[in-house]
Amino acid sequence: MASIQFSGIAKDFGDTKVVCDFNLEIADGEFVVLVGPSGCGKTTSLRMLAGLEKPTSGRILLNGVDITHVPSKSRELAMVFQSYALYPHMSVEENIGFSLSLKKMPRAEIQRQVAAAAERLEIDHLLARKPRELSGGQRQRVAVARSIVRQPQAFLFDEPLSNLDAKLRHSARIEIRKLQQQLGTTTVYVTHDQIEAMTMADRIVVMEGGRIRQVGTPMQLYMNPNCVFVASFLGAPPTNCIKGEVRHADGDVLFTAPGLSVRLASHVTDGPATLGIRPESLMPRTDNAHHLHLEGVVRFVEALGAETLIDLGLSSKAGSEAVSEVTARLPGHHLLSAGQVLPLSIDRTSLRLFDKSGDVIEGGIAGAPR
Amino acid sequence: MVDTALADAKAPVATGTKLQNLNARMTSTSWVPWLYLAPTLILLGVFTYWPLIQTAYLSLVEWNLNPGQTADFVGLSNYGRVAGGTLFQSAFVNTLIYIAASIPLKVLLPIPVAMFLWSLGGKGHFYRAILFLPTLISFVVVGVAFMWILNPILGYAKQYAAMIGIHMPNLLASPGSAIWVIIGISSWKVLGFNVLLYLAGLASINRDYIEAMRMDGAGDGTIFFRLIWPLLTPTLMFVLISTVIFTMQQVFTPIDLMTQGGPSNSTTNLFYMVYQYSFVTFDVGGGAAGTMMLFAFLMLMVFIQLRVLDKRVQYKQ
Amino acid sequence: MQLSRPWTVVGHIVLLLICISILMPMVIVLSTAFKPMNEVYAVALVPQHPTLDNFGRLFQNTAFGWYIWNTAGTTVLRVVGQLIIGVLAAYAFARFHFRGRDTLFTLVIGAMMIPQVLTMLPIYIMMAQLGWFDTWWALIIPNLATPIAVFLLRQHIMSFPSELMDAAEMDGAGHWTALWRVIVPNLGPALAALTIIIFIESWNEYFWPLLVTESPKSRTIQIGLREFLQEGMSDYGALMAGIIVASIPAVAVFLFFQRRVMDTFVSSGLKG
Repeated sequence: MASIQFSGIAKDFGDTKVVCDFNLEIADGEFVVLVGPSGCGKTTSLRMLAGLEKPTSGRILLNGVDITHVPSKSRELAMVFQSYALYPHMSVEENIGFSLSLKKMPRAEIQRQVAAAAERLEIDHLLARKPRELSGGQRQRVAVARSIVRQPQAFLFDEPLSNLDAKLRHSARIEIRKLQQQLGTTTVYVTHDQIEAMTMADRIVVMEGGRIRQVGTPMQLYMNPNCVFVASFLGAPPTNCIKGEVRHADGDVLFTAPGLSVRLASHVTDGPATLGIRPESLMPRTDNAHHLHLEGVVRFVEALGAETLIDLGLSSKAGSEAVSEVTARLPGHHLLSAGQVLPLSIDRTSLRLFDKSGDVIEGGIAGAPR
Repeated sequence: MVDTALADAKAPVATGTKLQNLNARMTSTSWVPWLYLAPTLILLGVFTYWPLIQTAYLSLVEWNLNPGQTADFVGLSNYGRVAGGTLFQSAFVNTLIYIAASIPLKVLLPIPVAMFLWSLGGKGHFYRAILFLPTLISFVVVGVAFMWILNPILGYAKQYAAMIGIHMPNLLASPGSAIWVIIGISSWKVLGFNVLLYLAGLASINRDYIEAMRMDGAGDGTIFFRLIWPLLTPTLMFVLISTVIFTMQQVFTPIDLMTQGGPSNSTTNLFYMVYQYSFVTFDVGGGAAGTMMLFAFLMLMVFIQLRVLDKRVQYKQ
Repeated sequence: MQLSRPWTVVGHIVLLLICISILMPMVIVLSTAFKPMNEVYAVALVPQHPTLDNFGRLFQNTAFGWYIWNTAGTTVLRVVGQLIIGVLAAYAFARFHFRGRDTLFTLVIGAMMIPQVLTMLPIYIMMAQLGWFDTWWALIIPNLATPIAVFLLRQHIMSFPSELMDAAEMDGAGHWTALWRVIVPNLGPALAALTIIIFIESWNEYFWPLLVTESPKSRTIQIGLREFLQEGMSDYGALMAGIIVASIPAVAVFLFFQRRVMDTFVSSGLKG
C-alpha cells in the first residue's frame, strides 16, 4: 500500500512563495500527473515529496507515516530526472545496480535484478555501455530501469520526456504508462505538456502560481473546468475564451460580446465575464433551435487532412470594429478562403461561463442543464 | 519470465515501523561539513595562521632558539637593531631592484609571447612544451647548471664568448653584475610559466568577439586595446601581485647556492637577510622583527599595485 | 586572432631565440653528464667517449640513493595526503551550506598568498619541540593543506549537475558514498593537474628541507645537490649527472599526466 498525502504543504524561497497550501491525496497504485506552466510549483512539490527540498510548512505522509523530516534515501521513493542524471563514469549495468550495491546486496543477486529490469525495458543489450554512448531514448530507459530495480513505494517522474523528440515522446509515453500498469506502483508525474497529462493520468492536478487549481480525471477536467486557466490549459487548440459583458435587459440575462449574444440563467449577476467555447464544439450551421447560432468571417485556415482549423472573427452586425476571435475545429476537409462568411452552430451544453476572476459560474447558460 | 524477479516487487514491505523509527531521529547534519573541513582548517590554522601571530610575538623578544634559555621581552628594540644594521640597507635596496627588474621580465615580456602563441593556435604546441620545461626543474638544478655554464675558468659561456672574441669576466664575483645574473636566472625559469598563465587568460576570450570586431572594421591595434587588453588585466594583476610577493622567495635558492648574499651584500635581499638572522646566527628576535618588516613591505607593495591598477582600469572604461 | 605576415615572422624568430636559450643550458648539462672526466672542460658538445661513469660516481660518493628515496617517499605521501584532504574540504565548500562558509573559504584561499617567509620561524620551532627534525614528518605534515587543491576541486565539484547529486541521494548514497563513488571518479582531469602541481612543488622544494633536514635520514635530493656542490666542487660531470637524475621524475610525472591536463587548461583558445 503506497498512498501519499500532502497536507498543507507550502514552500517559500526567501520572500517568494513557490508553493502554497498544497493538499492532495493519492491512492495506492494511482498515476497522478502534476501539470502546469513553468514556475507553477509542480517540480518543487515533487522534490518535496522526494525529500530533495524541505517544505516550509505542512506534512507529507507515506502510507500514513509522516515522512516530512525523513531523509531522501530512507523514503523508498525512486525518481526519474529530466536530464536522467546517469552516472557518467559507470556502465549501464552499474548505473542501474548502484542503489542495490549501496544496500550491500550480494553481487549475483544484483546482477539478476539488474538483468530483469533491463530486459523489461529492452536495454539488456546495452548493459556494458557508458551513458555517453547511448541515445536520448536509451538513456531514458536506463533511468527508468534504475528506478524500477529499487522496488520503491512510488515512482516520481520529473518531465522525463521533455528531452526527447516528438516522435519518441509518443511511444515513450505509452511505454511508461504500460509499465506502470504492469507494476501497479503509485506514480507522481510532473510535466508541462498537457497531452502527456491527458493521456497518461488517472487523475490530473493542474497547478498555477504555486497553487492547485483543479484535481480530477482527465475527462472531468476537460468537460468541467472550474476556471478559465484550466479550460484553456487542457486541450489543443485551446478553448476559445471570449471576453464580454453580462447584462440584464428586458427581463433577460445576456452575455454579449462582438458577434455573440447568449441567454444566461437568471442567477448570473451583471459584470464582465468570459465565455468558453471548445474549438471542436463548433459545428457547421444546424437547424436545431436549441443550438446557439453564430457566424464569423474566415481569417486563416489550417487544413490538416483529418480536420480543419479555422480562425474566425465574429463581429456585430453593425459593422463595428470590435471582433471576437474564435478558432473552430471541424472534422474532415473544408474548402474555405479568407474573407468568406461561415455560419456555425454550437450546442449550448458545451458552453462554459466564467466570472471576472476566472472561476466558473455553474449552470450559467440558460437551457443548459448541469 | 521477466516477471519472476519483479514479481516480488509488488510485495510491500511493512515500511510503517521503519519509517517511524527514522522519523523519530532528527537528521541534524549541521556538524558534517565541519568534519570534512577539519583537516584543512586544523592544518592551516596550525601551520599558516597561528605562526603569523607567533612571528609577531617573537619579534618582540630576544632568544636564540635554545630551549634552555628564556625568551626575554625586549619590546621594539629588535626592529631598531635590524633596521639599523648595514645589511638591512643593502637588502632593502636589492629587494627593490629585484622587484623592479622582475616586472618587465616576468610580468610584461610574457604578454607578447602569449599573444603570439595564442595567434598560432594549435600550431604553437612545440613552443609551449619547450617554454614549460623550466617549470618542471628545480631552482637548484637551474642554479647548478648556470654555475657550471658561467664557470669563470672554463665554463661554456666563457669559451663561447672567447670564440667570438669577448672576454667574459667572472660575473658572479663582481658586485655590479652578480645581481643581474640572479635576476636573469630567475626570469629564465619563470618566463614559460607566466606565458602559460597569460595563455589561460587569453583562452577565456571568446574568439567570436574578435570576429565581430573585425566585421565592424577594427584593425589589430584597436582589437588589442579595446578588447583583449581589458580582458587580460585580471590575469595581469594576478601575475603582477604574485610576482611581487614571491620574487624574493624565488631568488632565495640561487642566492644561497651561488653567492650567499655576496659579493659584498650585492645579491642579498630582505628574505635572505631574515634567513641569516633566524637560521645562521639564530637571532630569533632579529629574524622575526625582520620578517614583520618584510611583511609590512609586501603589504605596502600589494596595496600600491592595487591602487595603481585600479586607476588604470578606470581610465580604460 | 591572426597576425599579419611580417609580425608572424618576427614572432617566430623571437620565440625560437627564447626556445634556444631554454634548450641550450639543458643540452650543455646533458652533454657534460655523459662526458668522461678528461673531456668535461672541452667545448665540444658531443662527447667523444660517452660514459656513465659520472652517474656511478654520483651514487658512490654521496648518499644520493637515500636522497632519492627520501624525496620520492615524502613526495608521494604529500601528493596522496594533499589530494585526499583537498577533496574533503572542496566537497564541504561545494555541497554544504553553513554559517561562515564564504568567509572561511576566503581564509583558506588567502593562505595561498602568505609567503613561507612569514611563518617559517614558528614552524621551525614547532618542529624542534616535536622532535621532528631530520624526519619525514617535518617534510610532510606542515605542507599537507593545499589551498589551490581546495580551490580547483571546489570549482569542479560545483560544476557537477545538481541532478546527478540528487539521483545519488535518491539511490541511497550518503555524503561520504556520493563523494567517493560518484564525484571523485569524475574528477580525473582536476586530480591529474593537481598531482603534477603538488609533485613538482614537493620534489623541487628547497627552502624548507634546507632548514629541517640534516642527514641522509631525511635529506632530499635538492639539498643533497647543494651538499654535493659545496663538497665536490670540481666534479662537474657527476654534478651534472646529479641534476639530471633530480629532474627526471618531475618530467616523467608531467609527461604521464599531461595529456589530461595541458589541453584542458589552454585548448579552448584553439577552436579558432
